[in-house]
Amino acid sequence: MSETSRHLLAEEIERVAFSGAGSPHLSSCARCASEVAHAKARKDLLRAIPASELTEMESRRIEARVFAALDEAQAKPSWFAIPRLVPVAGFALAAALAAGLFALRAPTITGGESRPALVASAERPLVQGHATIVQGVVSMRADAQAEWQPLEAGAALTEGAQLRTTEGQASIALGPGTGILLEANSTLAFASLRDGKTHLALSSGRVACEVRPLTGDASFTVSAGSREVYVVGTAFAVAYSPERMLVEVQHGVVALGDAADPAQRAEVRGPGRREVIAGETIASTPATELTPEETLVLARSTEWQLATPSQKPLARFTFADLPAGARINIDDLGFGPAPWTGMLAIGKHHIETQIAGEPARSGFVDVNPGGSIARLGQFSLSMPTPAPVPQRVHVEVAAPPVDPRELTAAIKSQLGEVRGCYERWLKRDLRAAGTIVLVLEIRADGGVQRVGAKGLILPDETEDCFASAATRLHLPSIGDALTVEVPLRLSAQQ
Amino acid sequence: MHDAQETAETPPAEELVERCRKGDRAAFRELYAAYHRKVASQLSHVVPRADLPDVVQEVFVEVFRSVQRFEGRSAFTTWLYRLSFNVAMKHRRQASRPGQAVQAGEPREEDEMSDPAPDPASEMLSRERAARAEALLEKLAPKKRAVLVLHDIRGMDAAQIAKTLGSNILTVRTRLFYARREFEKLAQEDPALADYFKTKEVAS
Repeated sequence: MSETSRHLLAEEIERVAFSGAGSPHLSSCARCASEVAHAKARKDLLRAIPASELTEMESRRIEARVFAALDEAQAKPSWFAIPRLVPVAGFALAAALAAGLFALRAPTITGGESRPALVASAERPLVQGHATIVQGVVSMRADAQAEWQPLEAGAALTEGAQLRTTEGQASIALGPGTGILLEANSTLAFASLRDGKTHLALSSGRVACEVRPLTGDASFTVSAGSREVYVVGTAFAVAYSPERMLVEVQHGVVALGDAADPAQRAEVRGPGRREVIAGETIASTPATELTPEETLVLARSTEWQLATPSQKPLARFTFADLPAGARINIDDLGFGPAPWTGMLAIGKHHIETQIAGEPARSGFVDVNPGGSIARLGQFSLSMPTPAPVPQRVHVEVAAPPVDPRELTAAIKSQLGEVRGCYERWLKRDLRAAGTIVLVLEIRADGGVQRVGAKGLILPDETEDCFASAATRLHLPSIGDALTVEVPLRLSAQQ
Repeated sequence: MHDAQETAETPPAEELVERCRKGDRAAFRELYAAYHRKVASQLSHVVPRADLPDVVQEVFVEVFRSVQRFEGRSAFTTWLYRLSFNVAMKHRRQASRPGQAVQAGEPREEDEMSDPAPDPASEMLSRERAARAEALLEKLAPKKRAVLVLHDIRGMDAAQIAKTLGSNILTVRTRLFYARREFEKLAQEDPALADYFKTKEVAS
């Protein structure tokens, strides 16, 4: 059969369609001509989809979050960027695999001891929020029974604390890349501030939230009445009154639920909003898109969170004699009129103030915690006290609940399937090598409930294979749930 | 913030990477400034627009965590883009798990709703088609979507795609075949696109 008499193969059709070159066969074959036209149409259609570009705001936001994560990693490297598993009790179990043989070596010991180090949390560590900016009149109390006290920048907020704003607003940092802005005439309670489980209860008013993407079983929930907003990682705001609940999402997606009616569930995708009027169901209210202007206003509500990284040393300061109502911009970010106090990273900042009807004044100010006074034109900045640094609560477990050597031996005896995964990866990529740390959540009966991984980036198939193999491990009954880290070094034999 | 990669002030990638490996924080910032928009561009169409900032963030967290293991056996951008796609695929898998708030999106309302500029009718129609096509792309499974985007939009061949995704050529070709078939089936079921294909065939 000659080249021009047979129908074109699928690959030839795609090649002709993509190169734009002709083929003698097409002039005499309507079927192939039609298929080429179809392929060209698909290519043109796909290439007409506009490419997504990051906005300036998004670039800055990502940068701030990335470096906040970097700060966090340097502060606690062992838990950096891994799925958050339930740390009922965890320990690091070191194992090494020599590829090809996959021999499990003696555990790698922190500090040169003969047994794996065992450091665990007895329960989820508490997270301490702290006020980064306080503008106008804002009150706080430690719990529902305590007296209301004026809130000052730098104040710590723990689980159960409540905030109330009247003619003012407060910005609260809740960890790297996560924080809220409670706007005027609002009341909010920190119902839960456990690591990975944040629950805010908004009684009235509006709260804008910036939440770093969550992993594992972590959650961030804002409840308003019986309605709840569940977040994976996004920037959004919730406004609530007895008459209505309004959820606006700048980017990412949030889910709305109703505790009184679990069947009610809907999502809002950024940039968009959904308003639920009293008496209506969540599902019956349509989501609408935010205009670019509305999105920008929402973005400005949370951008201050990113300007005050929680891991850096911070200094509290206030404008001592700036008239009420004067506008303040710091490092090109605006935050409400004076009076207010704020937390800034120690170091130089560009500060601009403007009183209505007067020209703006600006300059660089060296913010430090030494109690000094800095001058900016006719105004002074007071930096009275060092800021408290948020602390994590850790509980050292004196004795391991199970002998790590017993676990090591059990894992070593069941590595055949894992070895197979690596061998298949090696067949596809001769350079495949490195160290991956499997994070195993083990049930009391020794079964593996969940698997996480950190370290080496694996091809999808290999990762799925490792996860599947690890899930089938069966370890000795340990009498209590455990989270175990198993470093596996993968290297090919010569 | 502009992409700094093309400017004379930005040091070569190898130098930046070497400084990053030594923990030089300024180098991390330069690396981010130089490459974050390129990563976003590579991931355009591969992840939904709403998820793009989160995925770019995850990519750079992973870059900074993994840079110690970059051995320079391939170009830095090859390593970076491969890592980017791995992170994107992982993100899509996590987003589509039951119980997570982020779901593979329903087709979004047409973009022209937010941009009512007085364009000619044909331009409006093209924009609507592009918006519909983008929505249909989001319906494809992440791996199929990735190969379709890399081949049909970026113009990469199967070998390049296999290298970028850490897969093999045969798998790429198979995924591409099914991705095209699925996309065209979805398009033919979409009122705004079914006519488009018919018109193109007649015009040819």
